[in-house]
Amino acid sequence: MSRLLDLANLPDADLVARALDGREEAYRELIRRYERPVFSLIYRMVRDREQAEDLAQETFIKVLNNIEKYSPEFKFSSWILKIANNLAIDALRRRRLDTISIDGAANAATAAEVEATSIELAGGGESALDELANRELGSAIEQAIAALRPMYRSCILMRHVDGRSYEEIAQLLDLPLGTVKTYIHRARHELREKLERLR
Amino acid sequence: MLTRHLLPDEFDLLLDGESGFGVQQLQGHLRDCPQCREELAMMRRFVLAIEELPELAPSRPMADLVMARVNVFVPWHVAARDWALSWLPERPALRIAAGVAATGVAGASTVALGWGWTHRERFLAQGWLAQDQLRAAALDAIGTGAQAVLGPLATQVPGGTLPLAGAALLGLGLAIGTSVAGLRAVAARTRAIGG
Ligand SMILES: [Zn+2]
Repeated sequence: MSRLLDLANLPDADLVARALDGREEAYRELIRRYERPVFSLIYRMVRDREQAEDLAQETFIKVLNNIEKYSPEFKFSSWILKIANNLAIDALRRRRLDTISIDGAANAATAAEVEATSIELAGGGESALDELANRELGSAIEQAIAALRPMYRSCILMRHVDGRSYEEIAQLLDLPLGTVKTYIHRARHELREKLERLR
Repeated sequence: MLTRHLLPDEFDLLLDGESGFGVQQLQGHLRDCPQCREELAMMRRFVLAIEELPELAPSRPMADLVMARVNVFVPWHVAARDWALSWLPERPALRIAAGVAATGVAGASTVALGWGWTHRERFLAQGWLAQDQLRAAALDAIGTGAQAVLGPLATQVPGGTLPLAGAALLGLGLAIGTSVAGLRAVAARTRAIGG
């Protein structure tokens, strides 16, 4: 018990070092520490609880099976959120492609459309997503965030939910710093407009 | 002194808590302009609303599900250390005793090795001698074997080459044995294909 408590107090870098020594309890502590932030980010991106749980698990499996590739000059939390975000964006793209093939409108897909939100791309609007998500992510602010295009959504969630700096977000999303600033700026203003309209 | 309202970018600077000369000027405008003050306050409210969004939890803890699909690799040096530690007794008194015993064994081994090193010449000489004796005994045994097989013929073989003849006989025996076994295998396979 005291050993588990000790692990809970260790910084991420020490936990990673222990994981590299083959200590399973260090792996478990990393999962315990990041399951909520990772799941929250993915859930808010894909807005489907079951898919979000699968993707969150996939994130951890990917990260922990490649733990020897982790480079300590980055924050572990940034690394894991980066992988979580990439998996969420890929899932949204796949969903987009599925919807297009169902609609038979594959040729009409432009880059802008691919960037469009999961709600818009689900075609049927929010009804297409699970009921639980509607209950959990149903507040005005959640809905406004959901209506942002995925990259704006990633940026705004990382900035204001995870409290990341612009530089970290740029590194995390592999985007130039200026682009991140523009995305967050636009996202804030889109949010503001949407919330105004909801009022 | 600014003679216009703040631009969207400038609100962003204030929202992000930036500081500097330009920002002081923006703050100067805010003091005099209730409209921009209200706009900034509203943006701060919804940024706060995002920051206060609850953290969402998966339906059950993920550790077991994830660890079932993660390969935990234990490096050899860690495995070796764990193995060594597994021999350590639980009780402190016994640990101390084990420590003392291990130190004793290590000390004795060091002394023995040191002594061996200083007397290495003698050991080497004895080693060579033993090797020679071993070789002579082996040749003798082969010679005796050959004599038993060749019987009276052995008397016609020149004395020193008797062990050589023995070795040749042994080789011949092995060759014949292998050939017979090989032929039988070929025959068996032919039968199997034919049937
Ligand atoms: Zn103003």
